[in-house]
Amino acid sequence: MADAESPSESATNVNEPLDLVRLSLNETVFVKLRGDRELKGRLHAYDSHCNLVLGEVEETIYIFDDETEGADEPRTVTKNSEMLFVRGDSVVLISPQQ
Amino acid sequence: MSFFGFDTSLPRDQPPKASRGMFEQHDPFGKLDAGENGGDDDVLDFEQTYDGLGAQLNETHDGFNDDTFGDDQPVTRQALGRDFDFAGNTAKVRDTLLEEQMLHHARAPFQQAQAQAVAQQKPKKTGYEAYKQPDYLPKLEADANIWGSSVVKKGNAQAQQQPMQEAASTRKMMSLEEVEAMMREQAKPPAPRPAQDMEAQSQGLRAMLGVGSAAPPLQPHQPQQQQRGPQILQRPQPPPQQQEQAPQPTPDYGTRAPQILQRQHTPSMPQPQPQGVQGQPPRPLSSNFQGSPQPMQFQQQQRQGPPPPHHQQGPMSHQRGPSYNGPPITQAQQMMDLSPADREAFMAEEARRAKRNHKIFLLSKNNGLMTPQDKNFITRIQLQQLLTATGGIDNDIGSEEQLAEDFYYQVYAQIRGPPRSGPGQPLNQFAQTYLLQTGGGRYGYGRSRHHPRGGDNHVQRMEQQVARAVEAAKARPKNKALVMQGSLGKIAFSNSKTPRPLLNLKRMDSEARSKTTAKPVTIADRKTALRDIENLYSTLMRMEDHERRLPPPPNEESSPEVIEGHMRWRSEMVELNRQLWAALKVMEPISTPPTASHPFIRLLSHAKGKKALPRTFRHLDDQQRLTLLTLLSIHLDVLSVVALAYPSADAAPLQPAVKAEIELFTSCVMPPLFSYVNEAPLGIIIGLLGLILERVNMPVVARTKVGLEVLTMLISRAELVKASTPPTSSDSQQWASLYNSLFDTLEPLLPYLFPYPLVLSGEGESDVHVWRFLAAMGVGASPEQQQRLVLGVKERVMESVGLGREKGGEEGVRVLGDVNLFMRSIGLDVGLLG
Repeated sequence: MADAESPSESATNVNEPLDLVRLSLNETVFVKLRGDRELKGRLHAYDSHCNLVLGEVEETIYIFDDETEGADEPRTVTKNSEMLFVRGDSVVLISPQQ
Repeated sequence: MSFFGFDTSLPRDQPPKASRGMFEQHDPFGKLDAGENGGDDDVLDFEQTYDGLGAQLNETHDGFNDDTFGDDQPVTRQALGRDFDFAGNTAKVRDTLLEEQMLHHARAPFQQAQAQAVAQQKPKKTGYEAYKQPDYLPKLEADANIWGSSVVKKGNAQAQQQPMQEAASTRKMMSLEEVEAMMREQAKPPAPRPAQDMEAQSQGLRAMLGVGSAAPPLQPHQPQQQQRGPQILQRPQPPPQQQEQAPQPTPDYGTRAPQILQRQHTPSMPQPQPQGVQGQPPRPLSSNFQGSPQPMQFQQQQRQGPPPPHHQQGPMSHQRGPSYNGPPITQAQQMMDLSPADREAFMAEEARRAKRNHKIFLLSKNNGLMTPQDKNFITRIQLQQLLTATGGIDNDIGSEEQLAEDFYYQVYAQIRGPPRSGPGQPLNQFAQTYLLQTGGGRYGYGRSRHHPRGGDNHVQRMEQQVARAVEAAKARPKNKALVMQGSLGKIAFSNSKTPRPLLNLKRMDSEARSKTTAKPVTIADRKTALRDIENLYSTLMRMEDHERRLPPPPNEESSPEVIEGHMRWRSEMVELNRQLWAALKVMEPISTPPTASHPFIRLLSHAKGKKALPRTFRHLDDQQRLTLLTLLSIHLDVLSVVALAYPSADAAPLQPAVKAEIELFTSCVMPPLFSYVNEAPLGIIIGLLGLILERVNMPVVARTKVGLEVLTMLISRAELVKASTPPTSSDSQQWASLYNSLFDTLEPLLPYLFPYPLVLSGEGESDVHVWRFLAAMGVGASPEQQQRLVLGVKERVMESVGLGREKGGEEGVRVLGDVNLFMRSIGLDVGLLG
């Protein structure tokens, strides 16, 4: 969804990147966060700071153990939240799911 | 007489004036003061202003200077910086002091005489007494008066700490009177227990000699300085061992405080009445204390409950806080001969009082933090926010800006209807409401009760300020720029909400842009659908926004402008409707055979698309609704809620996501369709059903919930209309033939209408919609058709009835009721079965 082509739609002009995020409102999105975290959930709201409100969120945290550094897969911890507010400064990317 | 006419009489020659009480002796600047007041026009002369202190100085007796200034010790922080941190020091070294005292008791009784001798040498003035008074310290601090606060609390804080700490650690508090009496007692050499004095003096001695340096520089002049109240704070507390001697009738003041506490906790215990010196009327000197920074001691006194009886006698009682003058005192006197019940009641009351005092203390902790000026400042900020937050007066009432500020409140108010004044509420009215609320609140009441004038004043001032602010804002020019006559430039106004625009860029008009670009072929992909939905929502919101700006309906007397405005609004509405219709994508070309890739159908495959439909539907006209319904009917089998819900071969339950979508469709999309169909004439129903029969994959529709519900909706409406119209009409005949073909199409499907085996349907997979459909079919069926109908679903009917009877209870009744829906429509009842 990174492309901003298709100027066909008159009202949904893509003037700024966040206009694309708007298309994912109420849809399931994948959000990558700083600190090796990923979220998957329904996007309820966002703002210009990329603050997000997500519903039915599944959060995945990747933990890299210092000792077992190298080829080993990072340990993952998964959490589920009904509703989540994500502060924008930690958002790395937002991507539509499916 | 003097040559110049001065009054040369010396002060001592002047007739004595009104006594100034305790200030009579040392009032070096009293004369200055008097001169200022015009009370005495004497010229200042040395004799008058010189207080003769110099004569009192004894230059030779400066033996304690070292002690005072510690110049024989290395200049350390302890020696230098903490001299006047009496509270802190005392609290810190309290344990040391206690140890010292015990040591002293154990060690050297013979030192007492020596110490006594030293103590008696001491009545010398060093000229630095003032610096030893703790209350001298506060004067060095910033005067709280500069903040407009009349309360001098700061200085007390330090002094208060010590009593608090001590109270916490030893539960032993000495009231002012007790301490005073103790000092008086110490002044008498043959006191029964001079140990404390001895200790204090020996402390002084040791300090002088540099021994026991752990102790802070104590005041070695206790006997001389007992007139100075604040020094009580520096006194070392008697060790706990002395408290054990409580029952002794000797006037041991160190034990008195615990007695008080005991009295409070176990009031029934008879206490020996302290006799002797304690009963002496205190010296008027005690009035010194009133100005001294010791309110804490008064507070403690109040909380200690009834003090010993002798405290209520004599002029001393005037020292007590005003709250203590009443009944409690008399009750305390009667404590000894009170009946247990009365005593209990009294104690309960005391406990309540203590609780209340504590509460007041807690509440008053932050008293005086804000000066009236501070409060005013905050009030002004809040007022400013209040004015700007409601869009200010700059914005017209009900304007975009005002709506944008508080959209949901405005809409809510609109929905709530007339009782609220709604978005059109004028600002000052809003402000008044707000103010009335605060004024009538608990806070306002409490304030006005305690400070009747202050509280009212505050609200009044607030109101006045609002009124003034509103006036000022009104007076401000409406337009953002003011052109002064004869000036070359403009003055632009700005506020936080509408900052002065520095750049004025024209946004490219969306209309213009869309016209310039050729419309490419719509690719039916997910992103397009999402974009369509957002487009739809934008248009929808513009439409709803426009609807909110509906001008009052014009009538014959309306001025042309009003009518014109209304017309303009209408034409805009039409234009918006056109846009909305375009955004809905219903009119996109239909591919043959109809696929799910139609934009409108894709729109409905998203949850937000479904949610948008009811909102959109009410803005559509009849023709548009029919078109929409027709389109939907043609695509009935490819609707995501139908296609995805087609039961699998192994009768696996639907995915939760699909189920949720179906639920959403039933609750969002169906109601508007239903309401439209319910008013549609038979012809339309026939047309729709004909389309469905003709172009839709019937098995798919019939085996899914949504499909069946649509069918039920149409058939039941047709039956209703048919019942009210003569069967001879062409529509009725048309309907009859359509029904027959529909029946023929559905008959082989009848056993498969139920998507799940009965076992499953009992668990949340309700099949009531199937029974409802069968009922709708049964109503219009001929007797022969009814038989075929029953034959088709006979198995399921029997199963269900059996299950319902077997289960019994609520569940069974529900199952039977569902079956009965169908049975009744064909004139039967489950009761008739086996």
